[in-house]
Amino acid sequence: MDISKYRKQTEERVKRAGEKARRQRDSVLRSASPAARSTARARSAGKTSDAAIAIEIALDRSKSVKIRLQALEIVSKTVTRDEGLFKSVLALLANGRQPRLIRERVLQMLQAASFRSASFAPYRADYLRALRVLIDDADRSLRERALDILSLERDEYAQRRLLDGLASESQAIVPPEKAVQLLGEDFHADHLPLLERIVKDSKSSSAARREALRLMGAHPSSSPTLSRVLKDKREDPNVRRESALSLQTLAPDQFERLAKRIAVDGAEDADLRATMLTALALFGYPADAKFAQHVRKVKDSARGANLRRAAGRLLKEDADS
Amino acid sequence: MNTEIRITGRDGKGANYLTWSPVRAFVRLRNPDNASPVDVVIDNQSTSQGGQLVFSKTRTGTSSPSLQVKLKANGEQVIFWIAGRFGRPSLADKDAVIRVRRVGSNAVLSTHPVMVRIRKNANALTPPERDRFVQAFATLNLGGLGPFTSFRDMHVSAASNEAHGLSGFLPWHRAYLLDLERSLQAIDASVALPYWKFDQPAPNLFSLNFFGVSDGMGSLAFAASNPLQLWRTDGGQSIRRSPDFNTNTGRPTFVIDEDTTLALGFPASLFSEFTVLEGNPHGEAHVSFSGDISSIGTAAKDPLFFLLHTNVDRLWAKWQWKNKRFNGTQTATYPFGGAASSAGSTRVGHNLQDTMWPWNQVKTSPRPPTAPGGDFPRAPHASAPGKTPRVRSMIDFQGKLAMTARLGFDYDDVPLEF
Repeated sequence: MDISKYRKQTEERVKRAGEKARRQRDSVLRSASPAARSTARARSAGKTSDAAIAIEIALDRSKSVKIRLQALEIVSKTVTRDEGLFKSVLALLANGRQPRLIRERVLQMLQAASFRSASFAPYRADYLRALRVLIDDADRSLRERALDILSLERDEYAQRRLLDGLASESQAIVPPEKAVQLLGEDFHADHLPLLERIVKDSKSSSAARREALRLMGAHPSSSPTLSRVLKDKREDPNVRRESALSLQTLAPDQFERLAKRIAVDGAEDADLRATMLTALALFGYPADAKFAQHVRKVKDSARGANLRRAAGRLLKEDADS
Repeated sequence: MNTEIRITGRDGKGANYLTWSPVRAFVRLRNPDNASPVDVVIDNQSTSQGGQLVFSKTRTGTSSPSLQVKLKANGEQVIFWIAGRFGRPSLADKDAVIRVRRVGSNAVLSTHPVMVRIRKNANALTPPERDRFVQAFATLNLGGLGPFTSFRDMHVSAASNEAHGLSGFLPWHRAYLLDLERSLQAIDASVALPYWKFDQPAPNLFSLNFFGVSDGMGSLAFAASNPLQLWRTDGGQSIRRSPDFNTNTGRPTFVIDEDTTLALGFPASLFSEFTVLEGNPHGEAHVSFSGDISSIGTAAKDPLFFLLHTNVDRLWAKWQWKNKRFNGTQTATYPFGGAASSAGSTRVGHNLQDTMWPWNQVKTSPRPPTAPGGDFPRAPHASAPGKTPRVRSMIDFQGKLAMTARLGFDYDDVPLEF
């Protein structure tokens, strides 16, 4: 590759991109009405910044959603440098009469700004308060996004609402499998009876049971349930798979016995067998000569590529050799 | 009669891993036919397959795919310099083979296999490259019981000020990635960290055999033979990730593209303006998903985090190359040239001369109360950055200005120019 030519091409492309970004920015700012400029000047004590004009454009309902979103891009660069600007953005998020696309973009923008943790710190409390209100918003995507962020923050209010929803369907704000998944971000031992109930309840969806089994791997007393589900050949293989992976964490010896049995049983689900072999290989469980012989038969005769690959990995051989 | 080649930076198994940065090598004659010197050509055994190499007489001199040297019969070593040829990285370990031939007869006097080990676009990896990387990463994690736990514990909310919101964002993450990469290479030396080029669709990356397919609710499906299905952190939690975009055909909607990123602060191209990328595209890439990767405190639970940040680092590396920003003492390259105690300094950990947590093992305020992971790992192929890296150690990553500054990694689309 000719590096000089590569450099020249890169420099030209970057120059064009920079000029385009500037033109777009200038075009958005020029679209501000005189009233918007006047408001921006007043709010900024006479020192009008691009962000101050841009937020007025973003708030202006007479503008197209496209222009408003472009204005928000300008705001996003400095949203944490100005308390007034931040409050205006939060107000936009909280306003249920604003277009969904605008509100979703604002939420995403604030979430991205939170990565600049040092400058975001003064606004964090207000941000989390706004998210808690969003849990009851009419817009589902905003509700779920807000819940997701709060769960990642281990917010107690959000956790309480999720638990209330699992206890009573009328209070559910997300489907049960999602509630279980979000609670998993901050799993407490006292959630275990709830998870056991979900696993045992025949009316629970497969997705909810999988999520519950996944979380049970964090609690030592779950081994009997995990083992029972894994042994039950009538169970959905994906549910059994989650049991197996959780059991491996809690009771490696028990897992090894069951996994080896399943791995070489031709009547078992092929993907479940492949997962067992993959786990046995990764965790370095010893393969005695007899087991290795069985695995070799799997590698040589199995139809599924995943099963052959997993068998080969255990034997430390290429799948097709 | 034959020849012997030795390249500096061999690992414990005698293997060499090269990048675009030249390293010193030696060639000498063994078992000569007579006392006369012998002219030899050093070149690539195959120009159509495998990684390709270039050779030069001096570190910064013009390099070429072949080099002629005169070898004395007394076995005296002749120094030359070797590097990967930009644009031709290896696909597999030891697929780049150095050949020494006698001028005239063309008799092959020796061959020496090496690897041109380069960080590549994750979406473009071959299946074997992908599988080696996945296996090494899953082994490092070991279902939540492996050494990956330290990496998870380095990137938590309590430590976020060490690495975010200020100038040290890019150097800290460069060190963090390098630490991880060296740990992966201790498992499989042929592995380099790939990057998620988030301004382009990456269907191969978001696939069952690689980083999984979201079920829409946030759980991931993997192929039954993919060891990443066993990935666990925080006491048994699996990865939770749900994209806001179509991972087969699309890319994160609001992430600015590469050229626009490289144009940040154009035309002055100061670091202080470039680092705005922390918000977009970096932050925007993070929040183009729901789930662990969308929050600072939980992002490192998801292995995709490391590919996202490898791309951010690549963008910095490319910006450095384009704007010739390798001298950390220039404010255009890095704005805080002193230490935390200097006049005009910024928060500790973000000045050029500061050591970086956690590798400095400092646990007193304002640093976090724990320092997971221990010393920065050593590597046979690069002596930098030492066990306690400073911010300045991360700037001249290719050793362009100082050979000893070389960190031992390169990107497939960021060359080295002297």
